[in-house]
Amino acid sequence: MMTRLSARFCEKFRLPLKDALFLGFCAVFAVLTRVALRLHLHISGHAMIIKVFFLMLARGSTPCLYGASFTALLAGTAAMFLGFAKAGPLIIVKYLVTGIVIDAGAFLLPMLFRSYVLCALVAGAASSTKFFTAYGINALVGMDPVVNLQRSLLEAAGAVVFGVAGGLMVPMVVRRLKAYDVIK
Amino acid sequence: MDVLLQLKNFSYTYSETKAAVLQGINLEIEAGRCYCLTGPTGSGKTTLALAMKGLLEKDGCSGEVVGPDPSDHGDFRVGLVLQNPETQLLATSVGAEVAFGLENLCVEPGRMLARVEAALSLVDLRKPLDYPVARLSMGQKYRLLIAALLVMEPQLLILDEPAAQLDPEGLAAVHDILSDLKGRGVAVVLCEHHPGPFLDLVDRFWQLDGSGRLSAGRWRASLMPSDSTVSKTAGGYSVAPVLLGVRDLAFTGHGDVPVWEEVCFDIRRGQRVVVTGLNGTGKTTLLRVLAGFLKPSRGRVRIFDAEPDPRLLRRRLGCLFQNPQKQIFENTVREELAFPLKRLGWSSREIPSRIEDTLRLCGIEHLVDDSPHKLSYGQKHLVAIASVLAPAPEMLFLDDPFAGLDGARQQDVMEILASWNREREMTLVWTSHDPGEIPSLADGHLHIEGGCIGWR
Amino acid sequence: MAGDRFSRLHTTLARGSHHDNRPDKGIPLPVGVKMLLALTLSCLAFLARTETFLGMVTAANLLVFVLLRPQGVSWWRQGRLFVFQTTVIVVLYILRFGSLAGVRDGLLISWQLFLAFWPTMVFAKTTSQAKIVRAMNRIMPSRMSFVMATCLKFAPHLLEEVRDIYEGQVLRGARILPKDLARPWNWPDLVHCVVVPAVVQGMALAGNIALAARVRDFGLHSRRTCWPGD
Repeated sequence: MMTRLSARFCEKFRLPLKDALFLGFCAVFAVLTRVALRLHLHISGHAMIIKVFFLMLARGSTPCLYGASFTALLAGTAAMFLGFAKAGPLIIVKYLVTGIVIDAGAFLLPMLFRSYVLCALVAGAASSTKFFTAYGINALVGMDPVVNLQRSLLEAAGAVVFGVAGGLMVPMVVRRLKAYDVIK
Repeated sequence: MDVLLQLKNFSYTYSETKAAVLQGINLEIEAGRCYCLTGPTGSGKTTLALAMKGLLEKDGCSGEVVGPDPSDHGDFRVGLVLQNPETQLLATSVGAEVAFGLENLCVEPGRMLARVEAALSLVDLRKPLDYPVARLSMGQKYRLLIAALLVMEPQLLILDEPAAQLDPEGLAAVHDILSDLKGRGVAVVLCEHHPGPFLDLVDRFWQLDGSGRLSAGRWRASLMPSDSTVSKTAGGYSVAPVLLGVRDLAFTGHGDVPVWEEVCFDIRRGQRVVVTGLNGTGKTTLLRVLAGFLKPSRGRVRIFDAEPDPRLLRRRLGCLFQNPQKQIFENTVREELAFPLKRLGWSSREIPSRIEDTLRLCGIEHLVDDSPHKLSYGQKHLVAIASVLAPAPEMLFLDDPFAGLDGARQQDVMEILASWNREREMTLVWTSHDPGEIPSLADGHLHIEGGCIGWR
Repeated sequence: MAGDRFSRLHTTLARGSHHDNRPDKGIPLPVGVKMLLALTLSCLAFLARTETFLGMVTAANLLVFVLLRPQGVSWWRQGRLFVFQTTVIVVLYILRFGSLAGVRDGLLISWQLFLAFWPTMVFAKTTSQAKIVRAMNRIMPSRMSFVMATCLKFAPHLLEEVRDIYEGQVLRGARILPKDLARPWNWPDLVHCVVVPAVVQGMALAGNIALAARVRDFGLHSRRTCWPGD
């Protein structure tokens, strides 16, 4: 029944297959680029640069209003199934929350992908969700609230810095794609 | 003969270009007949194939595409094998690949097995259903694709440029399949600018000229350049310095499978060497090892008297990998050529004249301020080549540089490379997947087979 | 060497198809059962607030590990991850509670977090990509699972295209070798010369695959049946 309901949902908000596949590639590379670069820098939040970049790219280079969320859902699912998820199944929630913030930002700010400042703001907001997801997961395991707050802030601080860096690359890319007439 | 498909005054315009790719096309396709659609690269053969399959955007179409009467032929199906089989194989196993179409047609799972096996026997592909697609040869993959379409019981089968994908053995197998299909009443359309291997099957030729109009008859590609264009200097390189020396080279690929071993050869300044081998024999890997991007598992490479290091080779070695248009990223042709010149330290005074000279020698000086992303396939190819030639490298590696080009464009590229070799003694090393067709440009031939690389 | 990084990732991506041919060393459980087991153990890790419960969850994980015998587990990487995570949490607990009492709590919390992700890692190491994709088919809409499966299958192909672009641009003088990228002012070269063309290639590949799927009538009907073979 869940499959039928979700199929009906998908039918309503149907994405052209070409766009869906491109978003799928963004999702796969959002998960796997970190493996390639071996970014085990042990700086909290460094993976956010890749995550935010690909989610914002997904939204910025397709006309799909929920592009980032869809990509996030696929990326979270891929990360979980491929065993790259530090948070287990909750990785899907972590990705999805970031994607939803990006889609909301793109919806509210139509000029988003033409402006470095706006991209930095939205990227920062999307990365800051790390605080809430980290806090939520840590709370689920019963971490002391004060320790939880401190640890989540530490993780989120690094995530915001790297996320903003990832977001700043997106206008460069989108601008070029528009110049090539690859996207409208 | 039953008429299966008719196009009546059919035209098509892509929304991006606003130029009509097909104009006023009139044709009829009869059951059990084979048609060959010829024409130069970019003339609209693939677009016409997509029109017959009904896959073009409705907005750009005018005229009619008329199928047969459903009461006579039931569901009329068209099967289409596009260029580049690799991007059309969507499953990981043979059985799943063939069944993909049946899944889309909502065929009951219980009825799939018999149909899949019947389709595989039609193409004579005797592999277990769980056999990994990745392990098939290119010829087998092509036959698998045909099976994946035949399982859907099409009345018309269209093949787009099969000769470009297959070696002689693969072509012979496809020839037999098409002959059998004709006998069963299936119509076949080949979109091909080298129809040689299928000539005996073809009942009718059509040709598309560059303006999108269709006429009867066969378009013939220009011939390769004669030997007067390029001088072969047999044994004339013995005094030239060795630029590239390879000793006991070996490379091991995924899963510790040896790709080639005990490779030894020297290439001297000014030589023009083609490296041939079937798909998957390691031609591209060889170029990457020689350029220093991959470490060999054994042996030694000396290039310009040093170990290969991309950082040091930048000024002296140029490299064009397959489908070179994908490297293009600047907004104009001028900027595309200026990029390597700036990065490799050419002075700002010399750059404009360098760009002008290079474009003139490549015959594309009129495109200097155009966006390279809006050029035709052949023009983009030439821009990519020009951007690699602009810094005047001493040696040039090219990975299958003639792939996808018709005879006229191949000749253009060959003349450009020949003139740079002649005037600047630029050493050329390029790969080709067809050992049977060695361009006259080559004065040395290395062949890869069975894990060995040797001079022929 | 940059080329070796691409080869490493290519191997990781291609591992799915290679894994299909390696015989499983552990008990062959159906994919759905393994997935449910992984999710259950993961959820239990979140709920294990007492030492006894945590001990039981640990024992269950150990048993699953012994029975399934996952191949290619990097103990060094997993150990490093655990040590780093534990160090941060324990230090914060010590600062919070001002004494070594915080060490025990910190260790327990860290172990819980580790056990939350461990089962999904074991699941991935003991299940081929093809089987993972078939499992996803059962719980995701067919279109979405097709997209996921296809993108995983073609990711190595796209990676090869990116590699060709990267290596070609290096020899054209782009400052994108690893040593060049240690300097942030070279990052625009990476974006312009590699990322942008790679995105264009990704779109082109997506277009080609979509066309290939439509050629075989994908999307003709809203639902699809499933090949029972393999």
